[in-house]
Amino acid sequence: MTRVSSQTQAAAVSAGQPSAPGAPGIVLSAVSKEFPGHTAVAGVDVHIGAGELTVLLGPSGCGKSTLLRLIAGFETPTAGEIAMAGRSLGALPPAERGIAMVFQHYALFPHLTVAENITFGLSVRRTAKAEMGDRLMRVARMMGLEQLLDRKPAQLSGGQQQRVALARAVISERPVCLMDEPLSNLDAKLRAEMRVEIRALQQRLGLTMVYVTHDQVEAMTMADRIVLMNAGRVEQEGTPEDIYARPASTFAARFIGSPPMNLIPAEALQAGPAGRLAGLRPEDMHLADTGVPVSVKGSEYLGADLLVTLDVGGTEAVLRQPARHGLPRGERLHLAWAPGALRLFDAGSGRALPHETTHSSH
Amino acid sequence: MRRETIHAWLMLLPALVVLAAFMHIPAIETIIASFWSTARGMRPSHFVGLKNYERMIADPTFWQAMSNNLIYAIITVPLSMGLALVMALLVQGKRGGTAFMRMAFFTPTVLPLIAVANIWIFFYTPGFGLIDQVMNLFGLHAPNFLGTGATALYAVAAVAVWKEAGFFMIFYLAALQTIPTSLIEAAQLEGATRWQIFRRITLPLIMPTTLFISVNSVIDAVRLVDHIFQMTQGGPNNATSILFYYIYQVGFQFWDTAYAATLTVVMIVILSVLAIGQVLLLDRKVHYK
Ligand SMILES: Nc1ncnc2c1ncn2[C@@H]1O[C@H](COP(=O)(O)OP(=O)(O)OP(=O)(O)O)[C@@H](O)[C@H]1O
Ligand SMILES: [Mg+2]
Repeated sequence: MTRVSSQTQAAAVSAGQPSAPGAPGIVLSAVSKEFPGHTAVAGVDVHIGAGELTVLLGPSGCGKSTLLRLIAGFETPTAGEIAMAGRSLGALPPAERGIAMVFQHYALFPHLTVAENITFGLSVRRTAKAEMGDRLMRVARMMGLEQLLDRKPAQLSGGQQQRVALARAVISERPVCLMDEPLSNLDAKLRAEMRVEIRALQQRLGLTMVYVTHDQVEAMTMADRIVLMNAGRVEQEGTPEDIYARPASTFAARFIGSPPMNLIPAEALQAGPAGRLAGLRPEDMHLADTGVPVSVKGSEYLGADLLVTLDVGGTEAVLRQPARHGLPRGERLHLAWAPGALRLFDAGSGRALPHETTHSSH
Repeated sequence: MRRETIHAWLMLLPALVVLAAFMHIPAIETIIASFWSTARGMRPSHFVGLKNYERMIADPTFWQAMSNNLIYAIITVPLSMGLALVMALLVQGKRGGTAFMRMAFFTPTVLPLIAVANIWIFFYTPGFGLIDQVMNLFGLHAPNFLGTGATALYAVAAVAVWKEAGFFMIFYLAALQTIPTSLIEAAQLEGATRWQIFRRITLPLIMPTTLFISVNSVIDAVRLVDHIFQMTQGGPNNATSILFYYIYQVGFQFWDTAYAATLTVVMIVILSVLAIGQVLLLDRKVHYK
């Protein structure tokens, strides 16, 4: 009896249905976490959309991991509340929050085989043998691990270990998946492949995923929404396009984009009064016959593009142009930029100023 | 290649000389001595073949020492290891008081076994001993633990456990600290209970340490006899005479050096077989790299 029912259930799931229908959203309200003598997370309000991939992005030590561990329930907030599917999580233990997690260094059990690692959760929860086998084979096939099931983690490459960690999260069929820098130990090529794979998996299974990284490329390519953090606070929250095009602060402007947004005193560009910074993306600028006079300090050849370092009234700025245009020659060069591309920031607070005030010169 | 070989031997020479002078040569001499008789008065030592071994097999005191030692090991090995693990798990975290508890658990280790024996003599003594005094509170009387054949062996075994557990705890503590917390958290997230985490994660991961400790505690079960000198001198009626103590008696009280050498060879063979057996048996369960 049980055997039949578990098989039909497995068949239903493998028939292309997402295994986590109605994955919940997560709402963090004024969440703070203080360690003795140190505030790791300070009053964070974040809305993590149901079935979306939300990236927590920020520099090292800004509290990303702490925030993730708060959601997982490994830490309890000193203030604020975390709610999932409209229900406060309170002091619910991690196992009862309906979350799976991929740890930064994978946290695979070194003494267990790949198969035992993947089914560890099912076996401690006393899942029937037959169902466990079915689910293992399905997930192993999905992750391309069929040939490796009898190996120990130490006999796997970094990428394979990564897949095992993913498989362990996926087999639980829990609707929320937390990932802490899952790709940081992989080389660049593998990282690019896994980015695509994780994103595809998240979309196929309809998971609510919270993904921690300090790599802005990962954030831009994978995220539905980015939560940009700095020193325990949320600096800006939005879609990758939002944050790229309309950074809310000089921190966001400099953190996102490679090379980052140029910040030039506004008066040097005749774009505003003193005490303002003008932000321009390298690709929004070009050299022209008229405009702000600049001089070329150097250049970097990237194949398709050429990065030209300019001196703009004593400030360095980087301009990106197609490499085939070549390095501009001549003494009297001038800088121009796409209309609407310029952002103004308050030099003191670093906050962005409303867009209207930027329609000034040129 | 030749030069390197010569260099290697030169480097090893000092250690080899010391090892040979103090270990290998005496060991071989012991084996040789076990085939000769003890020199007595006018009669010099002469070759007797397996006579000493035949005598040993017929010696009831030897067999009693063997069975005493077996019981002693069966008590001290698992108890000291188990206690060590329990204590290590207790003081592992950073909760308040753990530093004090660690120190308390470790103290018996730094005391010389002779001093430990004195402490326990005070515990055991009928009349004013601690155990008797506590039992008096409930209107009971403690037996003479050390003076009674039925209890003496257990009484000296308890001392060894008390002395050793703190030492082994340090090794377990070190092993527990090498387990990444993320492994425990990964297991917690899957809904594993504390017992499941202990059984399926912690215990297998500290297996190398368990092997190391088990070899050591087995050796100690044969080797640790200091307190027996102090507490019972092998008595009453050989009840606490374990193999090593019997060897001492034969060699240095009865001055039968050849027979003592024979007993020593047997002890070394038993120890070697046990150590090799443990390594081979547990090796398969230990290595996960
Ligand atoms: N258990 C702890 N006790 C005390 N301070 C802690 C603890 N955990 C984290 N912190 C501190 O909190 C701050 C945020 O740490 P967190 O691990 O969340 O950073 P992160 O953003 O994940 O950084 P990284 O990118 O380097 O992983 C750091 O300054 C860190 O030193
Ligand atoms: Mg981190």
